[in-house]
Amino acid sequence: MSAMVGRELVHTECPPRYPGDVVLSVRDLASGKAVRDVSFDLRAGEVLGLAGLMGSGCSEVIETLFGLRHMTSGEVRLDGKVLMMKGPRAAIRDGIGYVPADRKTAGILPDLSILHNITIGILDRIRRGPIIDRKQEQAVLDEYGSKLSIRYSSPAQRASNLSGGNQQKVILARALAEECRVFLLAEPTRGVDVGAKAEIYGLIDMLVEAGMAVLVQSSELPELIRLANRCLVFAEGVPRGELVGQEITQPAMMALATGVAQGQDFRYLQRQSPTQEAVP
Amino acid sequence: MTRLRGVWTKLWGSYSIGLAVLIVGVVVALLTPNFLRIDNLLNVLTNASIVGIVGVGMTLAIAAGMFDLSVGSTAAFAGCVTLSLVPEYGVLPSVVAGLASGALIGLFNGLIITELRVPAFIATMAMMTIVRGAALIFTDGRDIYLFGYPDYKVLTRRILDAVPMPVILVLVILIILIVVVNQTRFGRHVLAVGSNLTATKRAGVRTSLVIWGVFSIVGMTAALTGLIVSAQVLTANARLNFGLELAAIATVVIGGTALDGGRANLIGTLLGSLLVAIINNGLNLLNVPIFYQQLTVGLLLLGALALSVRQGFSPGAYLRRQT
Repeated sequence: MSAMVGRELVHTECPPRYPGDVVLSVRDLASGKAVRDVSFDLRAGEVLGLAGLMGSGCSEVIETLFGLRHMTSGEVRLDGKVLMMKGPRAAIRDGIGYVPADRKTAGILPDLSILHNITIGILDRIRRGPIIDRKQEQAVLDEYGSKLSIRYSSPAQRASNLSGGNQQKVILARALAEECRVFLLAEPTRGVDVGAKAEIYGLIDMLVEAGMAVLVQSSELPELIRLANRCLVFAEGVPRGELVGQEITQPAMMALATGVAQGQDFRYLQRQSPTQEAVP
Repeated sequence: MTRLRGVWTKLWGSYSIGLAVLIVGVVVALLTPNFLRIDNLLNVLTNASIVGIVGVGMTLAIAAGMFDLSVGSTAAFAGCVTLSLVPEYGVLPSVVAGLASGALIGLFNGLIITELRVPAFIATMAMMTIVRGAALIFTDGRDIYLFGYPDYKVLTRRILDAVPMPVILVLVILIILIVVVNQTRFGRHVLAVGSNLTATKRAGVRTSLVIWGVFSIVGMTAALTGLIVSAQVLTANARLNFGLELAAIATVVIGGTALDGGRANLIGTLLGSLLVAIINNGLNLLNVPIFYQQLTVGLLLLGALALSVRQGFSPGAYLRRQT
């Protein structure tokens, strides 16, 4: 059974990550009953995955960190400084970027051009007096458009006419332009075709190599195996265990997510899984 | 081929209203030679400008994906306030006070929308009645007449014996708003709010400030329209500008700005108000009873809405978002 869902089905391996200093440190975070007792450190240059079934609280962790949900207790520090968690605007100011799971309702500005979509959060930086400087604005698109290899016909192309993958890249570019260093990615490849999926994984690798700290929440376990060097598995609003490196397998995540295993018990399951040895 | 069609729809989208103005103008001119008399043309331009001023303001609200149904009441209130202040404080301070009262009512609209979380449609509908009531209380239900202040007439006078003041005012406001919408951070934020409010908020934009700004501007344009109308007749009462809100929304929709927000066609709005003014004037000259004017504006609005549905506007989704 585990041979069918095991690690070898994932076409690519997670590249080596080289975690640096702790950037974001979360202690005893809670948001109502949806999320409780969440503590972790996120380092520069690493991807921490958040896994869990629907309603497990892992998506709510990201929403709380971006200030979309009220943090009922706990403490979040960025570079040692305690964050006030006042909302998205404050989060972005602090350097925390967010890519929502549902880009249609919460991410993309469909009627605006791709150019205006990317620069919406940084207009203060690229204006001369009250007037937006078009040259500077274009330069922002040139920079991030090529960095993220966004494909578009013209800077004036409406964002609603872009493919799902390119829309996702536009939202990433927006966070990058806002000079964020911590990225909260919720379902980063939902509704994106396979080719664009691989591309987005590559972009996340690039962010990490550039020293960004990335938190990825996904309901696709292979995605977490591909991206994360560490993974917190949630059930009923509480992190049930942490998997590191090669421990991140579908059986191990499922065991923690469904409550079959607790804490470090997953190693037992791992030993039973013949797929581990099959990985080259 | 599809590319050519794209270019054509784009051209048609930008210029169809101009073409409609031209065609209707020619038809009216052919039917009634009096139409082309300078006096009459200036009259048409003045009428177009009066609705056009509040129309371009309304374009901003609609670009932000919202409505302001209180503009007629705001215009009446501002007219009453200004006219009652002129004898005591002089023309300029009273005009400033009148415009400020409009901006304040607009700001209040914005606050209801963002702080009480009442959809714009309902919030401004309530304000429509509230402000009309306030105007009735303020005037005690009576007419306010203004005698002996020729300065106030400057709002309707012809400048240099040629261009009526409302025309100059609407052009100035139009140019300012075109620059604001296309070149400034505020304008970009307005379009973003109209395109996707949630996403805009999550991009770090203070959307409440944007909404307050939009409704303050709409309130101010409504007030200016009210002042001009009160200057035309040197009278103000609480019943002034009844139905202005629908006339303003009609000019915006006829002008080609989509009701679902995210886009603003300010020049189109002005042409829309011109189209309505020409049709109304033609009907006047043809001795059609004035009641038919309401009917034609309504029909035009219906036609413009039907057209926008064909271009992909979904009324169902729109109404769900509004309420």
